[in-house]
Amino acid sequence: MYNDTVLDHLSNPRNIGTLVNADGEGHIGNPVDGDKITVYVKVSVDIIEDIKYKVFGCGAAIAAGSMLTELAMGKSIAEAMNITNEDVANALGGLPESKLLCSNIAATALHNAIQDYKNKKQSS
Amino acid sequence: MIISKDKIQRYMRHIIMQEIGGPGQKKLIESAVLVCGQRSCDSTALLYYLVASGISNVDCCFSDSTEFDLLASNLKDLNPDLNIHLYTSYSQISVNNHDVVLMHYASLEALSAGLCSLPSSVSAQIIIAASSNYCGAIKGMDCIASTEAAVEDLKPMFELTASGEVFSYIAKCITGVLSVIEAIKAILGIGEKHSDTLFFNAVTAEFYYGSFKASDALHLVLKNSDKKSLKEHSVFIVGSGGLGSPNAFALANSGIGRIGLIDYDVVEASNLNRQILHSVSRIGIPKVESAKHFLTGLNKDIRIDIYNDRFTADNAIELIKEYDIIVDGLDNLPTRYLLNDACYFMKKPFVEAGVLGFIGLTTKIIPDKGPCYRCTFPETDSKGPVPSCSETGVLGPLPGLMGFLQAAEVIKHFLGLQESLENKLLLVDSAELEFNLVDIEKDPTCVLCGTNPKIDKLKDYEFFCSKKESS
Repeated sequence: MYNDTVLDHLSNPRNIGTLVNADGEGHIGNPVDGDKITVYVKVSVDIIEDIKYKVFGCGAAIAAGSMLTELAMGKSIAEAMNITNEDVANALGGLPESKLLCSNIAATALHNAIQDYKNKKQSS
Repeated sequence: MIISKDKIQRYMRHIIMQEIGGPGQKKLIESAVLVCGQRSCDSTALLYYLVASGISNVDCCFSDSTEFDLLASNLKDLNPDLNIHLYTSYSQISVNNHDVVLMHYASLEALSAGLCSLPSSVSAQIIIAASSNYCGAIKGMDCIASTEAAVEDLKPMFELTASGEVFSYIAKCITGVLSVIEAIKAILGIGEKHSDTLFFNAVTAEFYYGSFKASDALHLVLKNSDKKSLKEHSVFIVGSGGLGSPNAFALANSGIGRIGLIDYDVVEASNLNRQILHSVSRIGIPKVESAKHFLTGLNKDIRIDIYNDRFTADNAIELIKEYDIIVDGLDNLPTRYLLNDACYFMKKPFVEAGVLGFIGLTTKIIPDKGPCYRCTFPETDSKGPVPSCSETGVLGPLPGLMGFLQAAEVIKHFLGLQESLENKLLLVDSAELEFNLVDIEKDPTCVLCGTNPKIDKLKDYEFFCSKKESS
């Protein structure tokens, strides 16, 4: 049910793990079917210098997180805020209909991570 | 791609677990395991789960290998990449070409002899899985020099007297899957490695570390007629997937009279990391038909009734009323509530189990006498950490372990043994190899079996994801 790009990403996810000294950390969980993802960013002069993610969920959620980190790496935070969940699905060459709603949530976690970075920056 | 597309599909349930992933599955596929034992027929459950998990290079050394050819052909149908070789003596084998050596024995003398035959320096991880009657033990051995010490703490277990074949078979299935779990963890370098020996008692469902408990010598005397009496009984297994497979496998081998199986799915490649009733050549055919084909091959005397259908509020009562005991082999919460309610209304004993990732649980429910599933796991709006989606990771041999424990409950029920998982919940963490047996109680406010019940008829519960399959 998955295309080759999705199979490649879910079986060998890029940038999986955590960042110890992350500048921002964003989480999103789907209360309905239990998918959860956390995105960690390291930001330098408003550029996403490093990004990692941790995920609990199905193959689509793993592939979406992996693709998101590839899309966001090296982007400015303004550009990264514009990455949508739909962009992630498109970059993967499409996800099964049934997975679009519950598993394609990685971009939202990234937005939360950037917001977290902005909040921390403001308060420091 | 890290491994071929068809292998990603086949091992999807492992690959989506972070602890395994694509790289871990690749390691499993490339690894080599040596399985040593006295009789190959004692290690069938072990071999099915070992091969299902993806380990593709398997050498076997058995002194008695009756019907090994049939077993090997079934194993190759479960995993077509399998290279399996049978040896009759250690002298023919390069032990050090293997990542893991599984010593799976049901006799102390044979185990000692096996250990002594191993070469003096072994680089492979050695896992001892021994069983005696209804008890068993698992231990890892890093150093072959301690062979004598290795069997010393197992001696009291082998002094157990009197038991029927019925329980020794289940104990062999349990040591078999436990050794596969430990082999996978050793190959991947994940999970907890214990230096102590893990003992279990298949009758009390107790698992513990340290030394064998003398109190486990239950002097359980099972008569020859007990196995015959199993022929009189029937069991209904809801789902013929991850949990349904080991239940049906163990119960058919134990000589139960009649098995009913319901499932509406067809066999898919992604089932085969754990659903040992099915095979590559049966992909695409209804699971219940595939299961019947396999089970009939195990035991021709058994009556198998199959229902290629969903288990729903409309057919639940009709289906379960004919059977003595019901086994839960479902993968989703909504149908589990339905099954619990149906068993409650029909006053049917019900053996529950569930698996997710590395975690499993099981309990036996006797309506009105103890807590029902809802007492322990009330329905909530949020499904919490339990995904309702069919695509969740599960370690292949884990449902095997939980299903064999369920089958043990079924057999104890028919033999009229007092020890059971009634009012108890067994929690299993296969990564840490930790077992917790906790007491559970009836909830007086339970909406089904409490003092003021709110549920008086069956209803189908909503599914959130579009696709479902048995675990």
